[in-house]
Amino acid sequence: MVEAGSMREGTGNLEQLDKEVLQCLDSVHLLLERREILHQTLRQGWMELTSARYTMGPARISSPLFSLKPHAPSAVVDVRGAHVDSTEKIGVPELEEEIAQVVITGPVAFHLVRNREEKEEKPSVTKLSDLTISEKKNPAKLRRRLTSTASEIEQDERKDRWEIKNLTDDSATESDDELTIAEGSKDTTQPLHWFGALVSPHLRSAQSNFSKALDIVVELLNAQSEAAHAHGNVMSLRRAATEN
Amino acid sequence: MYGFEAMTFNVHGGFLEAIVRGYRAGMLTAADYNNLCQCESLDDIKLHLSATDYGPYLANEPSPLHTTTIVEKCTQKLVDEYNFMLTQCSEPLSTFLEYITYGHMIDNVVLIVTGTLHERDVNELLEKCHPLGMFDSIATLAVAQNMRELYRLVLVDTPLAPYFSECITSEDLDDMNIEIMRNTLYKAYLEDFYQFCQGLGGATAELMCDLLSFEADWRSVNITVNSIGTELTRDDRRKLYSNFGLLYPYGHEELAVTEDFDAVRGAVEKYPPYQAIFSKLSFGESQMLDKAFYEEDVKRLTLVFEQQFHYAVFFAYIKLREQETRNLMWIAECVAQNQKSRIHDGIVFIF
Repeated sequence: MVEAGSMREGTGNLEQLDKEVLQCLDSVHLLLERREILHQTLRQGWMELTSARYTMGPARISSPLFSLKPHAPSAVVDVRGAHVDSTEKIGVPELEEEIAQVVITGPVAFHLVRNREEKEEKPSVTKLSDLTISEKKNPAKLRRRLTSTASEIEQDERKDRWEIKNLTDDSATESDDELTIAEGSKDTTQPLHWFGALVSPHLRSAQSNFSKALDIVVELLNAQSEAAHAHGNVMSLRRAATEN
Repeated sequence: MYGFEAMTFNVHGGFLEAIVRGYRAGMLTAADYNNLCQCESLDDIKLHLSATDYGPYLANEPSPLHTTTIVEKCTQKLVDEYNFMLTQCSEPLSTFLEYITYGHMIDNVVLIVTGTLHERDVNELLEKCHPLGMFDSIATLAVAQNMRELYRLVLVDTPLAPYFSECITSEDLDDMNIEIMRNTLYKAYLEDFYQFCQGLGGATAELMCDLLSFEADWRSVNITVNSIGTELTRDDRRKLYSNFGLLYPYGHEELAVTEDFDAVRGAVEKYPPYQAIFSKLSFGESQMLDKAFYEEDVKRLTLVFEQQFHYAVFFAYIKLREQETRNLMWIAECVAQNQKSRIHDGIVFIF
């Protein structure tokens, strides 16, 4: 009876091991697939940038035109399954200070959180914050691009600009405490506008490719995290099976 | 009087026309481009170019070579040739040659103003300016806050001053205003150049007016395509189109109200010279539009050399050299990015 029980337990462990191995292989397959897609997307983006430089001229698309004005990031990565433990700090010789440890409590999940303004490809409203001081004092001199009243613009600005992207179905039931929703900054910028207001479609296409590459990087991180977690499970189950 | 240039042109322009035709003979041929397309690295490109007119300019460049270095050296060669011709010529050719550089001057002004708006260092921006468009007070552009100051402090003493009358406002300089300023200045410059060439008369007027009309029409199409989906209103768009060219005025009326590429195609295809350009593109495809226009432009510029005793050869030579620089930049970028399958997408063969 004891032997039958232990045999059943062993069979269960083997089934679990098979399941974890398949999960690991699926994650690695997804990881390799995402890497290939990322590689292709970035190649396409750089080629479109070259095409834009060909039509607009190399001086119009060059690094000296990048804006050095302080602005909020257009996207941040929200990490779940890990938290910062401020009670125990470790010393870092290179930084000459102590930093808090990052404790991983489970499979780490990454979520991309974008600024809503970057998602709007057809800006149709000139926000009040974007107007210069002279334009605010003399709205009659504005070109015909202001389509909302000042009160509507202020209401929009009070709303939360950050949207959660790439939420899985599992995370929908999680508590709000685990979500990190940041207040939108007024100083976000469209990198496309650094090169002029009327840019070539090639440059827009390049921007779109690089933006898509950012999504793929986050998917790749998730796939890597899952593969590592599944690999860890496989090794522990193998050890357990060997000991039994 | 048209037809009698052969009697008097060579007195003042014969030497320089011979010089520019000699320069034209040194341009890269299809065989050179085929060799360059087979290069595996930028050093291979440098090796192949050492046997061409670009050899002396690239010979002393250390490895590893960068694509921007190749473009800079090709541009430097053009600038040296232009400066040689400018110092040797007399009126009205000297004014004609100076007109050719005003477009680069406008681009440099906009580059400095845009970079300053983005809080960049002026010295860094000056390095990126086109050498043909430099003028003495260009560095002081960084202090201007709006177009009125731009004109009053700096540009009033430059050849661009007459072109500012249509765009002087007290509005602060932002991305859209700068773009509108660029296109308004360029429109005024093209119209002024067109009138100057008409005043010269003869073969110069006939050939240059045709070339400038094509450039004006191409600009109109470019502005339309680039402004689709942006904040630029229809009225603002219409104001940026030049007041000459095949598309003026009815084509411009249709272009001003288009909202997608197929509508642009519909508006422009009605004109036979541009029907051939759009016939190369499938519906909805806008990616190859620029190359199609470049090919048509090169075809017109090369035909200019078939006739003698006019100034259009100087304009055509400079534009063809700029196209050659673009070709070399494209080849270098494709080799550097290991995308040789796309190498023929950007090359426009000249001869």
